[in-house]
Amino acid sequence: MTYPTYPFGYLYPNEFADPLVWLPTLFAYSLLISGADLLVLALAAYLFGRLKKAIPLLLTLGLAFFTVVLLGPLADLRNPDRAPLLFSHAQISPTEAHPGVSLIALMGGVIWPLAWVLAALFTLLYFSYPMHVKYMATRNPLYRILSLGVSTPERYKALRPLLKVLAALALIPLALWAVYPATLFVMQTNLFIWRNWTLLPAIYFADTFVTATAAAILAAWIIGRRKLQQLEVPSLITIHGAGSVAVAALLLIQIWLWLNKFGGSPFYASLAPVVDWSYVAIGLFLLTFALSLIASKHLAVSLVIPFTGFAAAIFNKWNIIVRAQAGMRSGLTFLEPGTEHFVHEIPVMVAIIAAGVFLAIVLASIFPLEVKNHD
Amino acid sequence: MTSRRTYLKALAAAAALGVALWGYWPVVEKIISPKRKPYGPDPLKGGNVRYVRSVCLGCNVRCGITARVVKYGDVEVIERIIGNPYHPYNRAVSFGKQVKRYDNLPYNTPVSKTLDSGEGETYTGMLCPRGQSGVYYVYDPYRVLKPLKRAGPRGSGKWKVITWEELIKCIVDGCIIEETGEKLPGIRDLFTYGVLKQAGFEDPNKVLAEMRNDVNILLKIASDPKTTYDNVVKAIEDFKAKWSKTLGEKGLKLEDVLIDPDRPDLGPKANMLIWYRGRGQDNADVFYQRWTYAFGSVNWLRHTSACQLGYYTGNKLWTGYTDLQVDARSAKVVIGAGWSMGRLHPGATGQGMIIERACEGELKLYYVNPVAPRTICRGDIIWVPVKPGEDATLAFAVIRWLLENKRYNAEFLSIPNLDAATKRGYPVHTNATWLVIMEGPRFGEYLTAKDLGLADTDDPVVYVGDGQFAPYNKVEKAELFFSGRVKLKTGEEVLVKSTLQILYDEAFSRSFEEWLEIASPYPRGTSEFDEYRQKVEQMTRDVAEAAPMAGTYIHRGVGMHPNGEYAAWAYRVIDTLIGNFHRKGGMLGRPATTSYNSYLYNVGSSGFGEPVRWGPPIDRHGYDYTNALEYWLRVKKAIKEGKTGDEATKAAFPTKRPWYPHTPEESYTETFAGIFETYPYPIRALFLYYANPVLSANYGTKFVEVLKDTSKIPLFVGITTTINETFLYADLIAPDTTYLETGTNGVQYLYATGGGLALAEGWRSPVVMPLTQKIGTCPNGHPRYASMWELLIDLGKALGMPGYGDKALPGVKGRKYEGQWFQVQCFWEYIMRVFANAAMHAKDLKLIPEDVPDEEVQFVERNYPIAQFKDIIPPDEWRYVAYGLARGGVFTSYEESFDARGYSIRSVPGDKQLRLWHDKLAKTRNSVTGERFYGGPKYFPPALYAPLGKALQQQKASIGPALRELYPAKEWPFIVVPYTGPLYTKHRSQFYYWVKQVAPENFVVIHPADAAKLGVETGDVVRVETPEGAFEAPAVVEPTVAPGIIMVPYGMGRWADTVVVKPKYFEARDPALAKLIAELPERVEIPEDAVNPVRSLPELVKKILFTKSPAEYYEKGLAPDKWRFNGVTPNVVQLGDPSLGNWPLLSWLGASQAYFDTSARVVKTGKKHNFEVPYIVW
Repeated sequence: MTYPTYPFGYLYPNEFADPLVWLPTLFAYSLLISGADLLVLALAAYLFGRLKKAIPLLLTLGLAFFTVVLLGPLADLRNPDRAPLLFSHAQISPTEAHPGVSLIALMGGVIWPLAWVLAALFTLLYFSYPMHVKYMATRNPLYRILSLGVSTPERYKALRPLLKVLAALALIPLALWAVYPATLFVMQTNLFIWRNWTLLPAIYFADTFVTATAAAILAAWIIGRRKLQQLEVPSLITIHGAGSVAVAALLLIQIWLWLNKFGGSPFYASLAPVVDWSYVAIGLFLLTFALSLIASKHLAVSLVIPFTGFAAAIFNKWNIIVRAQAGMRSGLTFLEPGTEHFVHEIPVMVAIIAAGVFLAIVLASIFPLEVKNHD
Repeated sequence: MTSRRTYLKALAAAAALGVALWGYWPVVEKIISPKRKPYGPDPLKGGNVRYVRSVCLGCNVRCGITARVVKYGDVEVIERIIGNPYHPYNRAVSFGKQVKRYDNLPYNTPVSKTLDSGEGETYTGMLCPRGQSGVYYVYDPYRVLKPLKRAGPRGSGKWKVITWEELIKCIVDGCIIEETGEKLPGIRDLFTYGVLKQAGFEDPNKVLAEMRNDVNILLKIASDPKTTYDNVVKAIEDFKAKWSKTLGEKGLKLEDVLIDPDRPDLGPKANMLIWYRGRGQDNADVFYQRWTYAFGSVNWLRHTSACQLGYYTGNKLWTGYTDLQVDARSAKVVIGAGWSMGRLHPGATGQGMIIERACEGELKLYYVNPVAPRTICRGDIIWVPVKPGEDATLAFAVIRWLLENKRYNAEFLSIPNLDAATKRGYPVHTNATWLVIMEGPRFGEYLTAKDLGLADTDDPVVYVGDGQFAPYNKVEKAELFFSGRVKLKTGEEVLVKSTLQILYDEAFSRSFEEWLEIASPYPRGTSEFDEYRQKVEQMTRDVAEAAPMAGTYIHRGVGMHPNGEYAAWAYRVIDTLIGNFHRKGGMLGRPATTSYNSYLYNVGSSGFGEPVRWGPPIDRHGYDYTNALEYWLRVKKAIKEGKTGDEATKAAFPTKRPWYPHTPEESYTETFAGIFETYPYPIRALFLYYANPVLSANYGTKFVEVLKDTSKIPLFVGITTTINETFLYADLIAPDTTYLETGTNGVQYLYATGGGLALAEGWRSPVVMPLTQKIGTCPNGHPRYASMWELLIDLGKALGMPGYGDKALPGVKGRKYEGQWFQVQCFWEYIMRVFANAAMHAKDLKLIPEDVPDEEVQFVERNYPIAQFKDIIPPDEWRYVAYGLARGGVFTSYEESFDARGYSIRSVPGDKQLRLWHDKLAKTRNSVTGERFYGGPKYFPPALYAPLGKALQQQKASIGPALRELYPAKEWPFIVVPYTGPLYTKHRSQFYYWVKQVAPENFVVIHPADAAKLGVETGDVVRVETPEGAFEAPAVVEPTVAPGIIMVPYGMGRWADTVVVKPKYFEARDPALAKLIAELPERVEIPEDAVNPVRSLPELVKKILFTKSPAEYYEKGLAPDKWRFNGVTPNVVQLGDPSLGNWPLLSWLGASQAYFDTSARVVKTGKKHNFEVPYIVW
């Protein structure tokens, strides 16, 4: 095999290799971005009056995951104590002296706080009257505080325009966050495969819905089998199935695009390891899609869906993030991931997911997962 | 009552929290107790802070620097080095100007504005990582601070401290190595001038001048066609008789004055002393040249063969000037061949502009190299891989395309002389139309006016059409292409061609594809080759479209092959064809400088009463063998024996070592081979300064044989900061100062392209006072520190050499100090006058203002150590000096460097003629075979200097067998390409520990296709075998090298740097060399108080400097540190030339070290390597 022209120059293997090989931390980070999707689902459901019973679950899960999402990049910093500088000195608007915008700075320094504040505010207001109801039942003063003084259905109803505005506003930054890593890969890295993965943002968007719905379905099962209908699991299954088949289709189209553009060239040969795994990912997504079709009729099967969904999403994201870097070496990523990366990063990866789960349990304990319709 | 569900929920929450805290705790810990001391932003001012503008020596590019010196108690520490915004390489950067940083700060900008004046923008300059790491030169635990004498056999690593006075005495009069009983000879009896003076000759120069004159007469007799061998022998005897008598009258013998009385053309005995230096830096360079000349030796030698001699020689053949490059500031298209990104002048810092222009879409750079560029700048830096040594074929493909498509500047090329060129607005002309005889014994000579009976001159002739010929200087235009037979006045008929026609014939000897078939690493017929062809065609078209704002930017990769000069010349033909010389965006020479050596005070290397000298240098560079008696004696003897014509001439060959009349500078290989062969004469003393030929030359380990042999070099004096692989064999070590102290102070000229400026020079002055031993005070009370400067002053004084002591520096004729002399008792008295020269000239050029503001002077007096010596020059001169010092030099601006038509206002570099043919080269003979070299740019495959074996050497060939015939690709499928980049230099950067944190080790890079065949993966340790030995290194598999290439980043593989760590990564095939390496000492013995300026630094500074090193390393100074001795260098097993005694392979014409021609094969060892992980802190 020959290489006509190396596309992106080189660095020595030990120049900058370690800190910029993003492995499990980024992977976990990508998984937790499903929190943004859960929030998108919840807000969209609220705006369009659908999936009403699932909204509390989607909100609590989404807010929990989205809250801890930045723990991943924080762990990647050599000096995490200096992280506030990233926000205080972010390059978020172009000037003559500093042309261009740092997508990382924009997403981390502006979009994430904005999305989080809007989502949190929405969540608080959404649960305000239900918290009053819970206060009345328990007389727990925390619930009274969280009711924000909304003590009547009328007052709660009066909040609806504000909630709709908040939902509409929050949707934009959350949608941006849902596709953020993919946008970063496609736009601001030098990895040949990422720069040429045209459909990556769309794949990411659909893929995170698969993860989000899988997480929500699993949570619903944990809450209780009897509450599946109540928590609108069938609708979530539908979304899960649609997301899965969309990812499979998008992956196939992407492979077709690559074949058209690079087929027969050494570049395609370099893409091959990722393509090979993509076929497996497609299979897994189709499997979870098929299971969701079955589960829509036999609800008990929905217990399998979170696992097949997670498997497909994890496999796909590992392929996109880790294998693409290790397989298509250029620019910043020469070295295979060493054992030390895993030793260091796997506990961190598990930790931030655990942090999300912890927060979800806490939020689920505070906020009622059943909110009566006060329309 | 709490439900079971609540318990489960709490349990799950607790478990999740536990896992989260467990996994994330290391991050939390780093947040709550960071393992570093916060270090605030640079305040850029303060009571304890000084700033000095000077010149970098991190590599040899000479960027401007601003050093920040901070006082910790009584200790001054160079804490930080940044760029100098006045300097064109660093360019001015401010908060508001961080893109398109092409301009240096206007020279008249007040210095206060550059250092946080509080009045708006603060300017700084950019600087590469090497430059920023320069502090490690000063703060090097292995630095030698006191004079040392060896205390065991040569190379034993045993040293003892001696006093400065003992050092001087030992060098001058000799001394005993007590431990071995060896006698070190002094240099007093080599100082011919002194010998004559001591014998009673009042004016030794009168004697030497007369003797030299007699030698010239002798050579005239010898070269006279009418004289016989016996006539020459008699003339020599007459010479000897005359001078035996003259010298005898004062009690001297011929042997006391001449190296060889039978060969007086070899010069006086003073030539038996060699001064050899590594990187040259004015005014240090001028100062030791001055000393060598004051001693009377012709052997002032430089390391250029290891640097850029092939490129220099190619340029010199082309236009008589060594250093020319395209103006990267304005060029639209550049063919950048044979240089590594971040290394070639203008270095990593200066090249930022090239890269930035490319990224901004203003410049297209075609990067012609076996190794990929480090960035492609959105596609405007395009990699054109080329096989090592085959550059000329790529150039000829371009030349052919330009000729075929008539995309050359026909008007310019048809002008045959300078007058006609000037009339049409060109600063130079070409010899494209000149006619050359192409057959018979005069092959390669110009057809002259005398030949055709047009005039009684040797002026070359041109064809003007209609069957008419004319002397080149009698017409304004001539025919470009001519090939035909002409009848000479003698009646003989010969074939003649215009030089452009010769070039055309060479270019059309192969098709475009056939040229590229040789150049390309991809086989013809493959899609990769088709793409390659299209790329080269696009490159050529782009050059043609952009002409004359386009050109070639070439360097050592092109020139450092056996055929290097021909290849460099071939590239420069492209510039000739498009007519880009001396203009904006085209080919420019170095910027001019002030008369810093001779404006008021003569601080230069001649004109102070130095001895008359003559004779060839030991490496025979720049010296025509036909000017040697040896040549004529052999020719005349052959004639006496009945040989005639060419046969008699050939009888003068082979010589013991080749002669290199066309090379402008010196050769490592030929120097050491010359010493070894005692050819043309033996050597008695070697002074080596700031060099390391053993490690830095290809196959330089071969030099150890000479260095270790006390019969070949009876006295070896090393002047250095650390004892490297070469200095290890010295008898005496004089400690030297670094460039941030007094070392290499003075005015630095800039290389081409010096930012395209018409005049630019950096001024290097001390940033801190030296850390070497204080050796006394000057009569005027100024302190003296052990250094090269003070050593040479004291040796000069001890020997009574002209140019030292009370009457040392003469005032320049016609200026205010005419007739006056100034003393040089110490370094400061010399260097202050250098700066005074430059400043006063700059003032007269109106670059420095007549009225220098007080604040400028005060800034220097407050910040610069050199200000304490201002009393050496008059106060009015000091003010102007201060202005220049405050800016780190004298710099003009780019825009003012060109006239309205876009031509440079600098004087035209070279001899104002661009050559497509060089008749003197065509007359020069291969020193082994006696055959003539080809006289113009041409493609030759890389080959040995001569055929192998005595019988074969009689065959008619100007060069030897192609390397690929000798080492076929089947057996040796790879070529080793050593490579530098923005981080390391060849061998002087192993102590850049900040850089080491980024790239701690090196490796070999191999193409994936090659790796797949060998089953090699990244991290596999491979054995790279060459015909001279083998080395082991970890492999990195990347398509960033062309197939068939093994790339090794330079900068490592050291084994001696005061401390010795025996190398285990290579083995030499030659048993003698293997034995020498095996004999390296296991450890060195040096008194601890003789080294390490680091231990007295503040604790925090030590930790910042040596973050990852054990304290023993920087506290003790003699403990081996792994970073100093890790990695490999391929130099140790590079090719020798078996046709020349297997000394390191050289270029045929320039004697340049050939680094990129070593054939190799790769064997997997089965060992694995884990690359060291760098530590990056954002």
